[in-house]
Amino acid sequence: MLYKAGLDIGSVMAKAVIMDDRDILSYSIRPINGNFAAAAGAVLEETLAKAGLFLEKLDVIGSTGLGASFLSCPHMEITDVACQGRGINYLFPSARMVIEVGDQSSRVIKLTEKGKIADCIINDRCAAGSGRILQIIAKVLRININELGGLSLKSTNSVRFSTGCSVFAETEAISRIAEGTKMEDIIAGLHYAMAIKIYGMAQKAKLEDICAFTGGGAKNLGLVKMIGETIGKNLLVPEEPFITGAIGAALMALEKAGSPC
Amino acid sequence: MEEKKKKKSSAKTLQTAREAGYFGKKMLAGTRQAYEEGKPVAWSMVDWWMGSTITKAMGIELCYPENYGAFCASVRKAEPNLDYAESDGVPNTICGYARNCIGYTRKLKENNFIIPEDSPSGGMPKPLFLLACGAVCDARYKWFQSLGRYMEVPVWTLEFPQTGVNEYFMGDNKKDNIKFMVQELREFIAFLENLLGKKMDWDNLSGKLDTFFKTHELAHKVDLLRKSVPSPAVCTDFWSIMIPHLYMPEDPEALDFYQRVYDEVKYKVDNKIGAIPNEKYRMLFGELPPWHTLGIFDEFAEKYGVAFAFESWNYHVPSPLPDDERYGINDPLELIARYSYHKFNEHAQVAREQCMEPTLFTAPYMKFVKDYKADGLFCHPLISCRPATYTLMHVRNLLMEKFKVPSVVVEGDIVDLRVFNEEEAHSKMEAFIETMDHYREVRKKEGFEW
Repeated sequence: MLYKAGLDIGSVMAKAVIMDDRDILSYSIRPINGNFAAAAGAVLEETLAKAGLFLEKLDVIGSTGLGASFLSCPHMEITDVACQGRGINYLFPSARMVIEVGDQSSRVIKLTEKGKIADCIINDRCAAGSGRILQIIAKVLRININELGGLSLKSTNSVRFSTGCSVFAETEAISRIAEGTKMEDIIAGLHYAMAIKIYGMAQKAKLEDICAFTGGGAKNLGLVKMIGETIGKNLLVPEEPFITGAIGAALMALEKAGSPC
Repeated sequence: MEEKKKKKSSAKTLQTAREAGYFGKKMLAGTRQAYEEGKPVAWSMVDWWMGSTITKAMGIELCYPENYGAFCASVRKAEPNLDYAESDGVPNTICGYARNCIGYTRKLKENNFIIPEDSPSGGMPKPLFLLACGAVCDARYKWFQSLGRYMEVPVWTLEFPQTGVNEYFMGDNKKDNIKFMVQELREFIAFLENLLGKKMDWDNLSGKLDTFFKTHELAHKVDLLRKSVPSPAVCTDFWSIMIPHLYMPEDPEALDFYQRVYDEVKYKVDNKIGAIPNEKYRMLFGELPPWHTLGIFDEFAEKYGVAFAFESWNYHVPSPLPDDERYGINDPLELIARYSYHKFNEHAQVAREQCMEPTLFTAPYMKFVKDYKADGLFCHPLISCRPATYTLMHVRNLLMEKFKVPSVVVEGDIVDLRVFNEEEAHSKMEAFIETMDHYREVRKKEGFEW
């Protein structure tokens, strides 16, 4: 039996999975809290404990994400685009396109049948297209980010944001609050603005029939619905969207190692 | 931030490429010396050789603000000029070369036209006039027009016909365009003669043209040699060796230099010596490079075995003029006009076959991709340059549609380091390697040759 671990150390959350030859044995997610090294170490320890394993039992460790290099134990760093692709291919082998909304960027990744990258469009210059804007607006509305999805589904008259910029979107949201616009309409408007950006990216990569949605943004049911409606697809969403990159890192580490180390 | 973004120049793979910086320095030093001696000096845009040889034949030393912008960026000293231009109200979406030049010129004028001591590579002296060119880019019209007013020096703009693909093949279109360009050049010479109070030395011009064509023929042969696998030279080599052929091909030293470049590249081809030791992928680069971070291409070579086999259509010499156009023409102005026109239209047939517009910046890539067996295209859209950006997206789509060759897009700027994200470039390239692998398989299945 081969044991492999994958870690995705993002800008906000650290995620880890442990897999055997076929299945996911355990996973953990914890906030970075400003310390990549501590979060990476802790999330791996926690995942090992859940799987009932020790570090020495792991045959290979793959890592990805902004803070991957902070992992202190021997590991193989892999690009996060490729990891998301492999992770989704493992969970949804029929998916040929992945939409990922993370804190730092949004990506549309086109996949081969083996989960390799056939094309990739990244929006990483602009916070308005990434999960960061969700955090900004949640803060403005003084609610928890996890509440955004549920609230937006209650919207009956979504606001139209006139700008694509997160800085101006924040100002605009404040103005709408001052005008007495309902919170759910503001959030739905924000989701629509994001969906339009992502639709443009998906069109650039030539939209595929079967699309999956992952990353922290996929935990927001309102955003899932809005993107699905905007691009005209039923999106496949993993049970735990945070860990697809970590799954891919584990799988790719083994691929790259060729044989266990 | 300043600390983090340290200089990242390329090591280059050709010995001759490492020596090519001499020509940039020679050009600037030549203008400064001429200025000191009271001789005429002018600033010229890249004009694809239409007016510059004529200007030099009249005894005027030239320097090129676009080249100077690239130099300032390459030593990471453009930002103070950019900031100074922007603080004067110049938007940051204006061409990076123009902003660098405007910032520099403002400093020059505020220092009573004594070159500021901290100017990279010694700086450019005040010009007697500005030679503008209407080819390719709209920003260049206003850039020199405003500089002319600012420095109170005359501006001469050479109009350069931008022929559409269908128009190129229409009846007398080419003949009429050449006639127009020749007339432009005659008027330009009249302007120069009036400005300098002396007549054109036609023998001098013919002599310079002779050297010019010899230099360019060698440069073209080098381009052809680069089709070899493994690639004997890469983009970072080219962006150095291009200085003599783009800016001073009539200089005998440039001709000697190109003979050495040719010999070096030929030796590598004959002995199958690759520019990079582990060539796994061959890429094209379009179009204008990030001068501030050329070292990144060395990193791509080392990490992924990517050889940038060909690049930047606009900087390359065209193929030699057909014999009937070269040897049957006695008027040197017509020869110049034909050659510059040829540069922009030699791929018109490719454009027609592929049903595409425009020829410039796009059709050449349809040829390069096959000739240089490219696995991918690195697109570098510039926030401050429309002509070299909108065409890239067109090229990207066409290469995929017609040749199943994918592209990676990394935004940036030629001069402005502040809008280039190295991490982004690395992360995109890393993912793109898989994409190139995938499309190699696709091309194989579809019967492409590479």
